[in-house]
Amino acid sequence: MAKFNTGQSFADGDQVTGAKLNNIVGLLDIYSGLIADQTAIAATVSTADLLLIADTDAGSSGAANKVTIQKLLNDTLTGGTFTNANIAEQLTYGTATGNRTVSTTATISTATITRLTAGTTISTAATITNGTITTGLIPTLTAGTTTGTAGIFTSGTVATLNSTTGTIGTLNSTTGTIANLSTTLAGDFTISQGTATLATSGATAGTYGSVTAIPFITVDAKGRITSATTGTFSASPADGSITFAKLSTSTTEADNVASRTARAWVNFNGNGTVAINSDFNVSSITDNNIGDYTVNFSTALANANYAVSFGINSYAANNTAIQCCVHSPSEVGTPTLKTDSQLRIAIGNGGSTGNVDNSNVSVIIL
Amino acid sequence: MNKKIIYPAGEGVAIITPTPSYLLIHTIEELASKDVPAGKPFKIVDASEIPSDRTFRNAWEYQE
Repeated sequence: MAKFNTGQSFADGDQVTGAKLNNIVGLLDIYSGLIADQTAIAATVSTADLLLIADTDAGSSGAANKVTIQKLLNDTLTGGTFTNANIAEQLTYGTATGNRTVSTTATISTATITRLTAGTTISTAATITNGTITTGLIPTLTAGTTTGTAGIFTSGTVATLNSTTGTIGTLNSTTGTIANLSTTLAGDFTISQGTATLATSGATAGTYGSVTAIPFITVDAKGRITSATTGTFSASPADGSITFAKLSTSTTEADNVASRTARAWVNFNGNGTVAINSDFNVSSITDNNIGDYTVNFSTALANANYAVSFGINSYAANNTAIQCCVHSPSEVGTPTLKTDSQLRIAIGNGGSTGNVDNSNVSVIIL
Repeated sequence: MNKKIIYPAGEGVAIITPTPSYLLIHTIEELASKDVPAGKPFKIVDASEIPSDRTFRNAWEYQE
């Protein structure tokens, strides 16, 4: 099988001319069989293997030159644009568009990868030291600086992640640290450059409450103080605000205030027709006879075991021989009438038998 | 008006004088029901009806 076709043939006895010889050179065609009939290379193609190439830099009819696979790829990838290429080794220069499969151990030191949208990348140690990824699915990034506007990172460590216009749908970092994160949250909490900030609640920072001001605090359902103000109060209780029920009834004697107060008291004129001057918890005075009275309590006392104190006018100037007593048949007898609602008293002149009226009788029940 | 309550007591009569403070919130009838011994008859009288001379106070008697 002819491997060359010159387009020139000679017949028997034909004359060889210069023009025909020129045809052999100028019209020479090399049939494809020259390559197809060669033995296929047995070993893996290496970067040092050689090819023949027509060097067009030397003119349209440039001579054939040898070139290594390494030089061929380096020189052509530097400035070229390629589609549908498989790049299994280092990708170090140029701009590549279209679908690519990058080696699982590839290192991309300086690159612009505008879109990474298809395929499955399984590398756990891919490194991009200085590049831009505008859209991508990057399962693992372990080092370097990556920037992107729409990258999806399923795991790994990202030193700085800027997304000024894009959205990071899900950011999981169960074991790592996000050191410098800015984001806007749909709530009362924001994160900017790694600094978390709570939204203001409405309360003004300050100290509320003092010895003369009590704080009024409003708390919302989240436990935040949304309002804080103060109100004044008097250091001493308002007039009439302390009732008997507020007094201490402590079993500790020193603390018991209620027991120190009178359960009832009255001051009256018992001379002649009884006239009551003032009282507390006394409903009436019964005039039983001369110097014989019953104090009736408005509200019954807790029991009849109360103490009684009396005060009366003296019998005569500088003469105290007159007594006011609990009415009883004898000094050791049971009182005639001493109950939780009544107390009968008697005023006697120590110097004579019988009772006497008195114009200034005071009875205090404790 | 200065009212008093009288009722029989022993051989004589007892006279109840109400305190002004009690009458501020109660009637004298209420006072009578409280301070007159149960079952005793009583009368509400004007204070002027009570003798001022007590010389024979123990001789006073209750009259229906």
